[in-house]
Amino acid sequence: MTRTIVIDPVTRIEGHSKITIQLDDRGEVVDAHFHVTQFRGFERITQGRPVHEMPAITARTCGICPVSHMVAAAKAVDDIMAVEAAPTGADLRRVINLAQVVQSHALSFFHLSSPDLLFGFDADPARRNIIGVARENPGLARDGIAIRKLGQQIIEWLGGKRIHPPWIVPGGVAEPLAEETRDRILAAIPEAIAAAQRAIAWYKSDLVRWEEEAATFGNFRTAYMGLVDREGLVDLYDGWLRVIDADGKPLEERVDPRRYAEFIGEAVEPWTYLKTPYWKPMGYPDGIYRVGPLARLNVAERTGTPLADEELEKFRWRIGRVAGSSFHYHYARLIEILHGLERIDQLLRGPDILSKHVRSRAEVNRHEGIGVSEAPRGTLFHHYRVDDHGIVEWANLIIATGNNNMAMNRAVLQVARQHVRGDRLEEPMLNRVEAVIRCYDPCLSCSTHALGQMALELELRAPDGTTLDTLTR
Amino acid sequence: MTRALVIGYGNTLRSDDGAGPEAASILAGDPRLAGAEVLAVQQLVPELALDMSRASIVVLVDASVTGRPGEVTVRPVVAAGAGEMGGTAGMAGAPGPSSHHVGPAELLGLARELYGAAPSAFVVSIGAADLGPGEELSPEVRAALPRVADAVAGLVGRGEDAGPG
Repeated sequence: MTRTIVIDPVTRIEGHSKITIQLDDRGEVVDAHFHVTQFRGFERITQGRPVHEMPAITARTCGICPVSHMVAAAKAVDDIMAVEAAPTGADLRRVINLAQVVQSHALSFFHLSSPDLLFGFDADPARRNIIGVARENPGLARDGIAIRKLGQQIIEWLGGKRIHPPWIVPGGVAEPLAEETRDRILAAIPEAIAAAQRAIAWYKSDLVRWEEEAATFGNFRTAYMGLVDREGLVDLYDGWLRVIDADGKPLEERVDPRRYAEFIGEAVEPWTYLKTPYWKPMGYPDGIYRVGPLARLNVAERTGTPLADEELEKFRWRIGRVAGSSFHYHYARLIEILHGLERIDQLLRGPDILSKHVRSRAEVNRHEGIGVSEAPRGTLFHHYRVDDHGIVEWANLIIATGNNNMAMNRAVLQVARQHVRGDRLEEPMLNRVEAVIRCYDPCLSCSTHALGQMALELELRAPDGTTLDTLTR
Repeated sequence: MTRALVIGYGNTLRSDDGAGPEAASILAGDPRLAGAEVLAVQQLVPELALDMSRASIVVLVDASVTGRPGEVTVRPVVAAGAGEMGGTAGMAGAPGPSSHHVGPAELLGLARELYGAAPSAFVVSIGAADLGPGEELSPEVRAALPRVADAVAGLVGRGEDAGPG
């Protein structure tokens, strides 16, 4: 007789989900599924809409990373117009995309995961929360707030508002950058960099404590995917897809993102609304790959900014050239925050950043367009087909969190095997299962294009399918 | 220099849940709130604690599922401590608030813990009639907006008379 544990719902992630853990006759975990139970269907909602509206419409997929969707959507419409974004417009898109990554990573690390890292997974939940962090390590909490606030402010200053800024448009951006805005951002960057460096120093000082936990915390062999530039450096806006295997060997060195469908398949499983992308040359389910900050650092040669590269070198010295444990998403996220701040500074010091020409204009010149960029959680694909009048006939979105679907399921199974004992669900185990999912910082609102709040159920099932125990957040 | 902070929050794509942001857009032009900072946000996030710590009084405006449609209520906010976080249904001792969303009491608690300032704070709630997908407020909620403005202006006026909290 097999038995099943269900965790329902997972807290401190974006969206709504449920975890079932299946036991066998001996009470051992034999399988685990991370179910995403929301459905939205943005790929259908957008059909019949003018393609120029796509950045604004698809931004509504998510209140956390609307900028990422606007960037990918605008790039897809650029492709349909057969134009390149005005160079300054492209650089300004880069800046706002980086600000999005900085604020989202700050949310994930400081607000969602730092309570576990500071107090430990077995700590009293009454303490293991953001106010507990504020009491125990107020400097860390203040740094987190400061970094996130700057990221949000940059989005607001550039885009006009924090959520769904209407500034990113096909062909570039709607308005040039004001000198005063540039100077205001540049003035704020040094303190944010210092805050990121303090957080990295704290994390590194604590890392040895987590070595044993990391060994079984979503630690397995997969491929990794991310965008890199011509020199193989991290590129969060554009470039080529690079995919490596678990040993760092390139599976594809440089793929034009427009050819994504030749390499990425999308499987559908009956137990989740979240699609399951896989690396086609390896088939399903063997073609498991990971995206996001850890994958980006694994696939790239370097980040391309000096302070972040210094930290990346230390990261690789401590963990290896290819980091396999999902636990290290936290570390990678901090390095990307530092890189993002440095890169914003570099871009804003560019000689043409205040140019008034920020938008290329054209009509529909192709019936199909693909836009790919790096969202905080990983590679984001927008693919549209339109009619002669630019009306969307078909859309396909592969969302960062979706790319990690197979990896999240495997991570949950590994943690459940390590920590589930007997037929009861207990808090430390529950939090570990949730925490391994939080490593991926999944945004289920995006990935299922779902409405509403996130929550999690955990269910333990017997071999015959009966429920032995449930926990609900 | 401290000043009043008004935060209207909610999802403008969920009908009456957008009452807070709509109220904020009206209040931003209300002469009774001249000098106050008025924000419209989708949801409460931790970094608002910094804004709150700098304010003399904070008024949060939100839709509520508990009141009658269009009913306007005012309640004071008491800063939460670490042991008072979360409390989500279904599991005793659940850790803190889910995702990025924190409540008024937690934000005030953060302001106190991190910045040493917890101003007097109030929530002005508007009873919602419809929280389904949509960008329009229900007639009951729209009709309540002038009363919301009066309530916020009254709180801010009293708070500023009393000086920083």
